Formats: sequence, C-alpha cells, structure tokens
Amino acid sequence: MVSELAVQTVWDWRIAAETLLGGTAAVVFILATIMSLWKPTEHRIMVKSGIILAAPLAISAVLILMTEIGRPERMFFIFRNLNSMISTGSVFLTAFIVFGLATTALLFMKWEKPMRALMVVNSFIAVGVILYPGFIFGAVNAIPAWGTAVMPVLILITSVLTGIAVITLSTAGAYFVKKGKAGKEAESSLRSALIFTDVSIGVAALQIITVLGYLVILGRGPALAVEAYKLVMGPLAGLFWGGVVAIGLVAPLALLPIAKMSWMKGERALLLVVFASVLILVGAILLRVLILEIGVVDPFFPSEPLKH
Amino acid sequence: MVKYGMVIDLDRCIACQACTIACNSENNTSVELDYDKVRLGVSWHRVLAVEKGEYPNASVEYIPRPCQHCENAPCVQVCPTAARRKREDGLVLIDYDTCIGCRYCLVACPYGVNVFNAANLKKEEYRNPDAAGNNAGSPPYQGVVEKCTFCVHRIDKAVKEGKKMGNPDGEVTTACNQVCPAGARFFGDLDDPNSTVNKLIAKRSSMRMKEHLGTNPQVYYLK
Repeated sequence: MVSELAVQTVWDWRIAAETLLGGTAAVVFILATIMSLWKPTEHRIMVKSGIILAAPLAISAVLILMTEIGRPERMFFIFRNLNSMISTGSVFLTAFIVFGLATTALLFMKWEKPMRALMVVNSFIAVGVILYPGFIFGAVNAIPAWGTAVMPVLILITSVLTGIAVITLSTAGAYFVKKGKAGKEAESSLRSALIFTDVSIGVAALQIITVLGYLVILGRGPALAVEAYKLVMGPLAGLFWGGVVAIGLVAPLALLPIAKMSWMKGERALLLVVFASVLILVGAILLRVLILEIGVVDPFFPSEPLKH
Repeated sequence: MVKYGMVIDLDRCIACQACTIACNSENNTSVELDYDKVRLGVSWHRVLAVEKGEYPNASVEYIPRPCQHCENAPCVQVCPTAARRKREDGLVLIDYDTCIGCRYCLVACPYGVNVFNAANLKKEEYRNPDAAGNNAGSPPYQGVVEKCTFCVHRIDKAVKEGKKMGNPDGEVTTACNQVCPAGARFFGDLDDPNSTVNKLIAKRSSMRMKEHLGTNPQVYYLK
C-alpha cells in the first residue's frame, strides 16, 4: 500500500541539464546577435564565440534528453501534439539548432549580411527555447512546487544568468588565448568579456528576489507545497542556501561590483568576473536540479465529499 | 453515448488487495521494475492508505486507486507524441507504439497512476505471460509508460460480442471489480441515468480525488 508523500523521482538531473543547456545556448545566441548589430567590429570575438557555441550547446541538450527517454529511436514522434509544451519546445529547439548551424556555416563563409539576418530570425526562435522549460514545469499542477506562476520567471532568469556567464567565459577564454599574440584583438575581447558585468549584477539581484518570492509561494501554498518547502528547509537546505543562494547569487553579487571599481582594471577585473561567472553557473545548475528534487507527489489528497 | 466510470464504496472496502492482484494478473504487469536503482513490482492499481486525524483519534482510510480516466486528463494534454488519447467512451488509453517514454504524463498526473516500464525483462519475468488481457507490460512494450485501462480489452470484446458492460448491470466488468469480495466496486455507464453507478452517486455522499484541479475524474468514492 502507498501511504506517504513521495518525492518525485520520475525526472532526474538530465532534465535539469537539458533545459539549462538549451536556455543557455539561446541566451548566448541572442547576446551574440545584439552585439553583432550594435558594435560588430569591437565585439567580433564575442559574436564569433557566441555563434560557434550556441548550436553545440543546444545539440548537447537534445543528446542528454535522448538518454533520458525510454524510446529514443522514436524521438521524431515528439512533434505530434503541439498543445504539449514538450512538443512546442522541441519545435523551437530543433529550429534553433538548424538556424544556429546555418549561422555558423555563414560565419565561416564570411557572408556577413545573410548571417546577421539569420541571427535576428534565430533570436526570435531562441526566445521560445528560453521560455518553454518554464512552461513545461509550470503546467504540472500535480506537483505544487512546479505548478506556480513564478516557475517560468525563475527558469527564464536562470537561463539569462547562465547565458551571460557562458558568453563571458568564452570571450575571456579567447582573451587569454590571444593575449600574447594579437594585441588589438586581445584588448577588444577583454573589453567584451567585461561588458555584461552590470547586466549580471542586475539579473542576479532579480534572481534573488524571484527565489525568495518562490519560497514565499511554496510556504503559502496548499499542503503539498508546504511539504516541498519543508524539503528546502530540510535535507536539501545546505545545497539550496549554500549552493544556490550563497555561491550562485550572493557571492557573484558581491564580487561583480568590485570588478567595476576603478582600481580593478584589465586582467584583474576579468579574473574576478570569470570567477563570479563560474559561481553563477554552479548556482544555476544546482537550482535547476533542486527544483526537480523538491517536487513532491501525493497520489491521493482528496477533496471534500460532494454534498447531496 | 456510453461513458464508462467506476464507483468505489469506501465503507465496504476491506483493503484486501484482491483488486490489485487481479489487475496485476489480468494485465501481466512486470514482477520487477528496474527504475531509479529500486526494484519494485509494477501495479497499475494500488490501494492507498491515508492517515486521518491525530492521536489518540487517528485512523487509516484505505482508498483503492485505479486510473481516474479524467474527462480533462492532464496526461493527454501534455503527451508530446499524442500517444495518449481520450476515447469517446471516456477511456484514457496509451498507444504503446507511439509512446517515447518521456514520462511527462507521470509528472503531470495528479493521481500517480502511471508507471514507467524501464526494465529489460524476459517474458517469464512478468506476472502472467499468458494473460488474456492487456500485455503492455511484456516485451516488446518496454521503455514506455503503462497504466490502468479499465480493462479495455474486456470492454472492446464485450461490445463486439453484443454483451453489456457493467457491474452489476451487465455481463462483463473489469478484473478489479470482478474479484472484489466485499462488493465495494461498481462499474458502468455514467451517461445512463438508470445505471447502478449513477444511482449510487445520486443516492450517497460521494467524492472525487483532487477535484480542485479541474481534471473531472470518472472514479467516484462513496463515503
């Protein structure tokens, strides 16, 4: 017989990884597009790394998903019900990968104008890739910890944070590779890598507010949500408060403003931003995994008897 | 149009689990399920034990739980492959040849009625390889999600043979209803005002699980 609330074990870390990789890829692509339209020459390295990274990140998301499902050889059936958020998301993800690969091809062929046009089109598709995981979780009323209005926002902000972190890290990587060789390119990639510092600060602050709002909603929700809240206070509390909040949000929020200070210039500032970006990635991965872990399923929980 | 539904009298249920065993045997569910490193028996039907009250006035209520065959089934809505479908007679079924085993239905179902057959088992590792009923649990239907079908194979056969479905109104009923020694289970047409299931719902105080979610389950519990 079944008598107790059960923590959902249906979806594991692979769903967290898949949705995070897809969202991160999409944000990376959008940022590369913005930079290519704004100051393409100055941020050439960032644009290039963004384009090159986006499609493989999204492809890796699909590959991880394929290890998670029971019959991966039937993957092509996944587009059959567009009322399902998984179907809709798969359409976005597939289109994003196709256009992303096409953009990469145009980049290497140096066809700049069609490449930029394609980037703009794919950026709209990327918005769908960022948003759909939030609605996949948000549509699950059976698990109160997921079926909240905050969930899509939480997922969106996490993707923005990780997207910024990844494009910052890749541009910083390019700087460290190039710094001994081409002086001008290294200088511009250094500037590029620091360009989203202000945005990161703002988004991390917003994420703290969203996470706190999520906890308030869990605590005020029906009985099951209270159980989920207990989990956040219980065995997962260390990972949540230490990993997600302290390492993933508060520490970057403390470090990133230091990188903006006048005495922190050049490479020192960059190293601090790189460190903060790594912390952001760790926190975001943990948050996505914990969202899955706190899901509590109560197979019964009946409503009141009908009155006759 | 027929709309099949079930009524379970909780005052009569003695939690003997005959319904669960009959379901396992009829539908040839696997003896073991290798999922999440835990080996469990697969049951499409369960009897839930729900604690009520506080000490010293605590008690346990036993609630048999088949698939609720919801009118607005969340599993049908979320299934990306459209493997889930709602038939005109109210049954929520799975096309095992289309299901990709993404398990979105598992997390979307508020009643926890779905099971994922992840095991790579041989035919003899299933409870009843020669079962007359649905053999979704036996090879080759692996890597897909399974659940209670209200014994659709019995329903379809009865309809084909011109027999009437229902317990006690008809000649054929589901396996779980057939074996209930306490006479706590009833099955029939919810669209027929003269059916026993409808009369019981009208006459007795009843409830449905998690009605606030708007799923409109087709299983009623008498209290």
